[in-house]
Order: sequence, then structure tokens, then C-alpha cells
Amino acid sequence: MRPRWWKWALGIGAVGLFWWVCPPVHVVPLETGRQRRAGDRFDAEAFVEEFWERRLLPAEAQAIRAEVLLGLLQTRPEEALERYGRRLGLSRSTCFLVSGQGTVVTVDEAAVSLALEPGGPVAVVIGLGPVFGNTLRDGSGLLDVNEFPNSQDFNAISAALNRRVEERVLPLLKAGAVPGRTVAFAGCAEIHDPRRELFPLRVVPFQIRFP
Amino acid sequence: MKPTIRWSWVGLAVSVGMLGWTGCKPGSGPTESAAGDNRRVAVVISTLNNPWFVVLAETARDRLRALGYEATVFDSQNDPAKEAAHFDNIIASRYVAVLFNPTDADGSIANVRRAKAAGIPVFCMDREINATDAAVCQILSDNYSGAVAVGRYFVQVVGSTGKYVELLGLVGDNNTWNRSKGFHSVVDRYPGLRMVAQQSADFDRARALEVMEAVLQANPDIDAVFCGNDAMAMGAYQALVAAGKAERVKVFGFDGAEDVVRLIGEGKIAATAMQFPKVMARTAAEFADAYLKGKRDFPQKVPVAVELVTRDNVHEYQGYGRKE
Repeated sequence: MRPRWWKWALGIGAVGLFWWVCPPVHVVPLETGRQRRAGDRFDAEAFVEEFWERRLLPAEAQAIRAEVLLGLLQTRPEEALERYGRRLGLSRSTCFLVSGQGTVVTVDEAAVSLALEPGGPVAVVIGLGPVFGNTLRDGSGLLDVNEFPNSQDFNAISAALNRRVEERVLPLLKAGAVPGRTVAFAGCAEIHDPRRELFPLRVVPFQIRFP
Repeated sequence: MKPTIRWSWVGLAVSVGMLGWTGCKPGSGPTESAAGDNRRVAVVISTLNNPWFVVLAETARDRLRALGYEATVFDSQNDPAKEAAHFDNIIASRYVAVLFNPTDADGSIANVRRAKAAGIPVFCMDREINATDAAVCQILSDNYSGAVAVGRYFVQVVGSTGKYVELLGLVGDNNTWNRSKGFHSVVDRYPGLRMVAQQSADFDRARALEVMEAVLQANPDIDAVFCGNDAMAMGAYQALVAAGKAERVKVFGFDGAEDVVRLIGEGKIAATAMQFPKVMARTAAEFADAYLKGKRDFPQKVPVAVELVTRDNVHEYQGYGRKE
């Protein structure tokens, strides 16, 4: 009998080559696998790039003035919530699109506080980051959850908007805010319960100017 | 014997004929059934092995009964094949509507489409399907926002440095990733917080206990655990108690389950995100009722807010919701 080991070797080699070319299984991290299935189809950064320039910045014209909103929230909160608030689904918290101009009262590592009238109390606080949550996405009133088949895409928009605020808006404020200086802002604010936490209004800005 | 056999054949032929006549009768499809005396509504739940989903199922069933429907609960046991079999049964039995808690955001779409094609409206509860043209409406927890709130509290309690573990839910479910991504959108901003393990425990308490025991072998010095639901938080807590580390390691859950709310009050679990299964189930049942009475303009998605529960505000809450 002649040895047939070479036939076995050839067979195993052929099978090995086939599996190398067409692997029967791929092992990938959970998150990577998930992203391949769903997340990668939607480019949140590209979406926000266009949304920011074409829809969000022009929306400043529709924003309610911060002093008007705060006044109405104190006197007729239900009307303020109804007329100017935006709620996502069945939620207790309400978001607002606001703009205004104030004088810098304090500046520290975490935030800049503003008075809306000369010598007045601190009425608005703008955090200097990091920015979390959906305040800007939901407060703008420009995006509808029903237009997004996968809620992960809708949430990715929030993350991209927040990053953009941190990278492009807050550095302007950090660089220019000094006590006594006038700042104009446009952004969104979220209020969970106007009876408990009205002052100061915490604004996530998408526009900062020093007039 | 021969006449007996002959009569049997005649009887069989008549039965088949009757069956065919009944099945082919014009207007006997599900849509007409909905308008008639048939008031059977199916409640299909991903698993009844978790008290949170039992509350979801029982609330939906009770609300449907209060509205005058005959409600049947189906348990998919987290198995897409069982879920598909339930839909076969539901379609064949001509239920008039389905309140649905899916097992898989992508895999469950086909079941909803089959029901829709058969004229049976489907209302998703708590878990999403990745399609906006299949279900009539999807009533969903705002998991991402809830997880952002947990993440912020996590940093406040644990600090900006430390080691932690994340237990994920079912990897095919969007809730798993919305919670994970919401949490990481905050925690990843602090480079000193290091995730030493991230493993799936399938939203299951027993599985979480096993996974946590294994993780603790390799990482005995962790500071915190973030769990994608409260069943896993209970499993992780149990493993920490067994290892004598429950005092030191902080546990964070998600759901608002009764036992976790109690343990937050006792200072043994740090926090959870309260979902509102009763609100979602009641809303789904009422939407189904409105649909069957002719209403058609439903929003495709109705997010339901999720609220952070900590030791500071736990007195305002009970299991699965706010104190009434």
C-alpha cells in the first residue's frame, strides 16, 4: 500500500483554503455587529451638518425672548407651556426655543451666568460643557421622532448636536465672557417642573454673539 | 360494514364542504370580524420571566377587559420563533388587534407585517421595531434620555475615576443600545472611568448573576455596575452580596422594578430609571380600542418619559411608577 497522506493533506488544504476565502463564521464585538446592522446606515454628523446651517440657525427668528418666557412661566405657566413649550410624547418635561441678551454676572469653569436687565438677578445660565441630553434636539421643534424608523438614529442626532455645541459655540463663550460684558444668545432650555425649578433658565446655546 | 364506511366518507365530504364555505364566505376576513362580535385582542409579550413585563402584560390585559374585549396573553419567552408561531396562531384565529412587545427590533418586523396584511392592527409597547410603516403606533420609553440621567448620576456618585462593569440586555433589542449609548454619552466623557467588562446578560436575573460572578473573578476591584434593566441589577447585586462586595460596589439599574425601588430606599442600590409600563400598556389598549372604533390618525411613535430614581426622591415612587 502506498501512503495516501498527501491526499489527506491536499483535501485538508483545499478545505482550509475554501474557509479562508469564504469563512463560515465571523466573530465581531457585540457593538460592532450591532452598528453594522443598524447604526451605520445613518450618518448623524452629516445630518447635523446640514440641519444646523439650513434649519437650526434660521430658527432663531422664531425663538421666544427669555424675559418674556420667564415672565409668563411665573404668572401663567400653563399658557407658557401650551404656547411655547415642546413635549416629546408622554413627557413631564418641556423644552423651549429661546433667545435673549444679557449681561455677564459670573464666569467659572462650569458656566456663565447672565442678568437679563442691568443690575438684575441671574436669570439665565449657560453651561460650558460637556453637554448631555436631548434639549437642543427636542427644544428646536424642528425634528419629528416619527421620521426616524430607528430611535437610535434619532438619539445619535442629539449626541452630534451636543458635540457641535461643545466644539463650535461654547469656545466662543469661554473666550469672550467676562463680567459686565453683553452677550446675545439663542438656544434651547428644558424645564421639568416650572413650580420647582424655574430660575435660572439653563440654556444650551446654538448661537452666541457679543454685540 | 360497507354502508358505515360510505356514510363516513359522506360526512367527511360535508364537513370539508362546510369548512370551505365558511372560509370562502365573502366578507369573512379579519376586518369584518373586527366590526362584528369578535372582540378578541392578543397581548404578545417578549418574556413573562421578568416581573416588569408581567406588569406590562397584566395592565394591558386588564385595560382591554375593562374596555369590553376578550384579552389573551402570549409569552414569546424571548424566542423569535415562538413569537412567529404566536402570530401564526393570532392570524389564523382572527384576533382583531395585537398589543405587541417585540423580541427583536429587526426580526419582529415580519410578524407585524403579516398581521397588517391580514387586517390585524398591531400596537407596539415598550420595545421598538425598526419600521415606521408596519405597526399602527409604537408607545416606547425614552430610554436614551433615561440612561443619560443615570449616567450623570453615576458620575456624581462614583466620581470621575474608577472601574465599572456594564451588563447589556438582549443585543437584538434597540432598548439595549439606546440605554447603553445614553449612558456612555455621559460616562465616556470622563477618561478616568474605565469599563473593565461589558457583557450581555439578556435582561435576565439568573444570567446576570452568572455573568457577574465570572466578571468578579477577573475584576475583584470594581467600583460600580451599570445594568440595562433592574432584573440584571438584582442579579448583579446578588452576586456582589455573595462576594461580600455589596457595600463597596454601587449598582445602577433601569426599569423601576418593585424590589429595586425598595433597595434604593434601603441604600443598597444607587439608582434606577423609572419606566412606566402601566402608562404604556393602558395607552396601547386605549389606542387599539380607538382604532377598532374607526380612529386612524395615530402618531407612529409615542415616547414615554423615563425618570431617575435615587435615594433622594425614592419616596415619590413605588414599583413600576409614581405613588398615586
